[in-house]
Amino acid sequence: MKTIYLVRHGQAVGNEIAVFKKPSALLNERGVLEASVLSQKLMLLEPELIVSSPLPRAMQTSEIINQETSIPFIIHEGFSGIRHATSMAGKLKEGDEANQYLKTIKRMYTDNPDSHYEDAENYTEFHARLCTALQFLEQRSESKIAVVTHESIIKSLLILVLHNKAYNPVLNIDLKNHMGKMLNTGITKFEYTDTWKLVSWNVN
Amino acid sequence: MKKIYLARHGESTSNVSHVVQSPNDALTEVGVRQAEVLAERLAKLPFQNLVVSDFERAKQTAAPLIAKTSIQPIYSELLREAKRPTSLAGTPIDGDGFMNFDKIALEHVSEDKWHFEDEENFYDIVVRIKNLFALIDSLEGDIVLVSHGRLSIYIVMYVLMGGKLTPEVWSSDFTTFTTNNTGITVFSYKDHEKLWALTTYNDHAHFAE
Repeated sequence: MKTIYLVRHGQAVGNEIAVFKKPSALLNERGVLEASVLSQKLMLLEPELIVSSPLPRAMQTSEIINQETSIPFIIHEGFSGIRHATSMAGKLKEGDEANQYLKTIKRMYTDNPDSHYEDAENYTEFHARLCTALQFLEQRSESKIAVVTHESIIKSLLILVLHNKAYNPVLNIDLKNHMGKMLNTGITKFEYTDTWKLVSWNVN
Repeated sequence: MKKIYLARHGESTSNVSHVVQSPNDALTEVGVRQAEVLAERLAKLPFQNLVVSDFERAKQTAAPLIAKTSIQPIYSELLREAKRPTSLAGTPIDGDGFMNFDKIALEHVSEDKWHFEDEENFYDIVVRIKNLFALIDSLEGDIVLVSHGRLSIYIVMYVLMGGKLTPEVWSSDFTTFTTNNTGITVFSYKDHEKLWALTTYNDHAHFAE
């Protein structure tokens, strides 16, 4: 059996006011502190490896964990945040413009999962790289792995596991709507043998 | 933002002996201690309502919490464990009798009238959860629920599916969820969208791993 801890990065600039984050967003002061507290928790959970999203706010979190615990870390692109349209970066996640954008991409992916909204990652691409990410975890030899990643990725991975990796953009978008806000550095635990099991979700 | 804290009962005698549970099963010594730790934790939360399954193991689990607060508990059959065939109570969960029932019931999961015996089927349980949410809506303030493992998974999936849980989704997904004795699951009401969302699942960090 393999144990996987999915961890959301520490608070970053843009988390305080819920905007579509620029990929380059860095941890704020509180985020640095959170990463340090998280390190203490991970010491007790004893993962053998940290797998990090390549985005700076996740990398910073992983580097702090690495410095404080000496657990080695590697980067995997599959755990990067959803790549939204560049034109949305820095804009509020609530309100008319955001709703319009989210409604448009939902309709587009429902009609055709391959369609592109500007330079945003489309549904087919997103699904494929999440499958690759899960497979990567399944094949690693370590028995305990912590993954530093993003809220939308943790939610999407649960949905993927629930659907046995099947492909259903409509159900995915609806399910996500019924998952609440996740904590920065909250811990989600999965176990994998030949199937994936959710043990706990978003625990402080 | 209204919140629901859903706790599973502590370890019961049937949890230890791996048999199909009965309404009267009591907590073990470990279960009683777990209930005390759970009470410490829940007593710190600002909740106004406490609804407890009327099965013995849930009532025993809620007892130390009730002793700590001045809240009058509501004992409700809406929070009972999903009912299994009476004839199988006390038989091993990996025995031929129960395994056979489990397999046949899964084959008939999409038939709303089908029953093996006197158990609740998928449709019966969904109606019960709808009634549970009607009760929850009628209560002011945050709510602690003390219930059972399998029913908790039903409630989680019901919320995730926005009340539109189907037998197909249930039967393919329920095995993905594991539960721990006195694990806490949290739902938050999103006021803008007027819907319940899963915030935390099976938090059992009060028992060091």
